[in-house]
Parts: sequence; structure tokens; C-alpha cells
Amino acid sequence: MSIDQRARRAAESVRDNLDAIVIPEPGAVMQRARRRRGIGVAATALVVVAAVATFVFVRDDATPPPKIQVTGPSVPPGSSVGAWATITKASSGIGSGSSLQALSSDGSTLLLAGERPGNGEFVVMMWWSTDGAHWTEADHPTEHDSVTAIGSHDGTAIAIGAPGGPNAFVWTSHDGGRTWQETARGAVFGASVPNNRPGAAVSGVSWHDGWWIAYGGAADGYEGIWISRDAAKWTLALDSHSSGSIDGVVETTGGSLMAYGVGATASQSTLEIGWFTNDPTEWGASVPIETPGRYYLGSVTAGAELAIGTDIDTHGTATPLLRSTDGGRTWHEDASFSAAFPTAWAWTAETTAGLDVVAGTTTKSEGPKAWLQTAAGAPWTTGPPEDAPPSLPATSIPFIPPKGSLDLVAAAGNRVVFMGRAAELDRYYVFDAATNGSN
Amino acid sequence: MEAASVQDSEHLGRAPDFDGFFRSEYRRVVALASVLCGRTGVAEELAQDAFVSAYRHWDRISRYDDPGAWVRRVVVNLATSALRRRSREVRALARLARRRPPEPAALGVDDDFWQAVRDLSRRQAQCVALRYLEDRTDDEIAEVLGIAPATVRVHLHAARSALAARLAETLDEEEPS
Repeated sequence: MSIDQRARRAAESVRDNLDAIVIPEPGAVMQRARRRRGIGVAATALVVVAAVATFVFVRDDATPPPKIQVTGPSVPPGSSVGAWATITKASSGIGSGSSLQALSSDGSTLLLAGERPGNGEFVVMMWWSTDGAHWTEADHPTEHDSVTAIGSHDGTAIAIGAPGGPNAFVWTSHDGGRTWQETARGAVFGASVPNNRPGAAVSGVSWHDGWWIAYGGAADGYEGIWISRDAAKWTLALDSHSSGSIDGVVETTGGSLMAYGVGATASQSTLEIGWFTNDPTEWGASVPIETPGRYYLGSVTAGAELAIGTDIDTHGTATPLLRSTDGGRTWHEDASFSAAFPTAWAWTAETTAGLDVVAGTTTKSEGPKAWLQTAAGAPWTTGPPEDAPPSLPATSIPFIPPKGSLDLVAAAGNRVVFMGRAAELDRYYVFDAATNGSN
Repeated sequence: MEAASVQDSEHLGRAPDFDGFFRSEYRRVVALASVLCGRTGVAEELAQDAFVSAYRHWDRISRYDDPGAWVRRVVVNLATSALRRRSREVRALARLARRRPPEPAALGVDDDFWQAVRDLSRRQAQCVALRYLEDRTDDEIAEVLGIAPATVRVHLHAARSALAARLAETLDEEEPS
């Protein structure tokens, strides 16, 4: 068969199924457009559950730590940058078979959210750790949807689960993530989710100058930034629907806030857009962010000086490292990274523990990979140094690299923790950054 | 957002031709988005976005020779760029895929073909969808995408070559449109 014949047959089969598409009432479609504008009003109509807990920093010193299983070779002692270790989920307290969704740190305590299958459904799990190697299950409400974002600041932490408009929830902890209470539930971030649009989830939350700032796909399927003083009452501060996505919010080195995303039409001149403000309640109009080629900002580090460039046209291609020296408004490619690691397929970038950290996998699917650098221009350290990368069982989940990828990065002290989201990945990695002044 | 452009539902009564336009074009626009983004539910959402945009500017768009071309330009841009290829979207899909039965990938039975189309470059995929699904000529595709007819021919030639190689089919020259 020629490709032309196959194309025409494929098209014909689609046209034969057009009757299966239900035509909605035009008025209902316009009604939905109008409802989006009302999100800000709806977001203030919350049921507030009292959530005041005494700050108790519980040390679990009385319980002997479980023996963790460390596999794989470590970087030899004397490494000028640090040392790697591989830890199995089963031995760490996380448990095998858990998928992981969010990881956060206030610098000393790591907070982790995930899910574990049980009795035919998924159960949200929350863990905390002070060393990244031993994890303790937290006390929290029972929930069967996903926690998709965690943030922490000065002993207070919040966890957001917003997988569906009416089913969003917010938990708060005042004891370093040991116990969690529900502080908001319902249409906190929007009212409805037309067609279960997949991006409809709050994807991140951070703290800035007295405000919790949540961002991501709004619960009605679009993009927004919500702000809250108390994690109970949330207000829509930016509705990006007419402009594009909101993929992240970071604080720049100058102390202002930068929100970034992909333009709604993603033309060359509006491929990446951003909002810059000193006031989380006022974001103004989006402005173009200059990136090289057809790359959008896949992940931006705190400070807005380092980012992953992701090709808008093709999923799974090499991701160059981008750098900015003007607070995130323009980005240029770090040619030394691309030259050294032409197959790097990075998913996340962080600046933590005195290191610039990039994590993901490779376009050759060589398993979890991370690249670390003490400063721009310094040599890169790669890891984890496993002889045999994990081989994940066959899965029907699309887009997951077959040998796993690293997507969650956070540090406690000088220990950087690297995790992948997939339940099938049975291990995670820690890197102890050297403290001998080489950093 | 243009607050004044989407009025109360009674406003629809003052633009009856929009209703007819919506009803006559909706399914084909959803199908176009579906083959480009790979998920029928998402395609419906994108198509509705495109029609909402058309409604906001209906006074102007209704005077176009082919308002459907305008809607198609909006929807193919939405379907091939901002939504499906963002890293965060990929993560969300992976999370959701674990929880629910897979959504029908797209309308039609030959999803290998449409998946191969979605793996093409953005412009190539748009050109293929408009050529075969919509049976549009080079000039019509050029009008929808806002590019030159010669550019359409280049994209289609490259797309057919890539698809033939990927799907192990023979490459023959399509009849001129």
C-alpha cells in the first residue's frame, strides 16, 4: 500500500466516525467561557475548616532507623564534588510500588507525596525525612486523588491536591510534615473540568513574602495563579487563559517573581511568555520571553538563571541548558552542556545544596541521569553511577521512559535527593555534596 | 480577556448564523484536533476554545469568505503546540493514565498512522491532517495556516517521505491538488 492510500483510508475511517461526536449546545459552550471569568469569585466561596496546630517539631530519635539498602557503586572517596548512593524504595520506608508525585524541602526536612495501590484503589501517602534515606509516613486525612504540589516554609507546609474541580483539597502541616489537616476542599481552584482535561491540576506551590502561591492548570481546565495568606482562602490572581500556560513560578535573584509558560498560539514571537511582578496580587499582562530556537522553558531554577530548554515540536528530544543574566527575560544556550551531553533529556532543574542540578534521562533511554555543577563554567558531574540501570516492567502508561527518569529533586542540608515518579522505578538516589570548600 | 465580547446567553439570539456555523462545523473541527492531539476529549475542549474565540470576534469573522478556515487555524495551532507537548502535560497524563481506562486515542481505527503524523514536525502534521482529513488543496491549506502554497507542498512532500519510512509503506507521488 502506498502512503497516500493509507493516509486516505485513515482519514476516511475518521470521517466515518464523525457522528459519534456529540454536538453541544452553542449556548452551553459560551456559558462555560463566561464561567471561566468567574473563577475569582468562586475561589473565595470556600468552606474553611479550622486548622490550627501547635508547632511541635517531632524528632523520631526514639525509633531506631531501619537499615537501608544501598546498592550500586558510590563515587570514590575524595571526589571533589560529592558522592552518590542508590537506595531502594522498599528499604527506605517509602515502600515498593509507590508512585511519587511531589517532593519539597525547607532546607532541613524533606516532604514527599505519592500514591500506593490498596484494595483496588489508590491511596495518597505522605512521608517526611530529615536525611533523605529514612522516610516516615505522616498522619494525614484519607484521600484517593493525587497530591500534586507541596510547599514548605519555616515549619509550615501545605499540600495541594487539585485533580478535579469540585474535588480539590488543601492540607496544612505546622509540625514539619508529621501531621496534616485539611484546610480547604471543593472548588478551591475552579468549578468544573470539561472533558477531564489532563492538565487540570495545580502543579506547584511556593512561598513568597507572606503569600502561598499556587500555579498550574486550573480546575476548570485552564491556567492560573492563586494566592493565599493562610492556605484556606485562595484567590485567583492571574487567569492566563487568553495568553497561554503557566508552567512555573520562581523568585528571581532580584527578589521579584517570574511566572512562565507557553503562549496560547505558540508562534515564534510568543513561544515563551512570562509575567514579572513584585506584588503577587498583581501580575499584569504577559510579555514575550526570548528563548533560542524552538525551545520553551521546561523547568526554571530559583533565581531564574538556569533552565531546561524543551523543544515545542517534538517530545523526547535532547534538552539544552539555558542561562539568563537578566532575571529570566532572555535566555541563551549553554553550548558547553550541549556539547558534553548531546543526548541529555532533562525533566527538571534545581539550584540546591550549592549546586546547579539537572535531572532526567537520555534520549537513548539509559535510565535515570543527573548532571551537577558547582557554578557556571565549572566541570559537570554526572550520575548516578550504576553499572546496570533499572529495567522497568512493561507498562501501558504513555510517555514514561522505559528505564525510568528523574523528575523530583530536593535537598536536606548538603544531601540532594533524586526521585522518579513511576511506581515501577524501585529505587531513588542521593548525592552528598562535598563540604570541603570545593563547592 | 475581552469581557464585553461574550455576553449573556440571549446574545446568541442576536447572532443566529453563529449557531448554524457552530453546528455545521463542530464535528469536523473536533476530528481535526483529535488526529493532531491524539485524544478525543482534549480535542473537544480545543475545538470549543476555537469556537469561543470565533464567537468573540464573530462580527468580523462572519464576513470572511471561509470562517471555517479561521477556526481551523486556531484549532490546529492549539492542538499541535501549547497543549500536548508540554512537560507538565506529559506528567499529568502519566498520572491520570494510571487511574482510569485509557481514553480512545483518537477517532478512527488506524491510530498507528495518526500517531506517526503526530510525531512529525508541527507544520508537517498540520498539513497532512488538512490534506487528508479535510481533503483540502494546497491553496486552501495555505490559507488556513497562513503560509505560502509552495511551503505547503514542501511540508507535504517531507511528511509523506517521513511517514512512508516510519510506516514501511511505499512512497508515491500524490495526484496534484
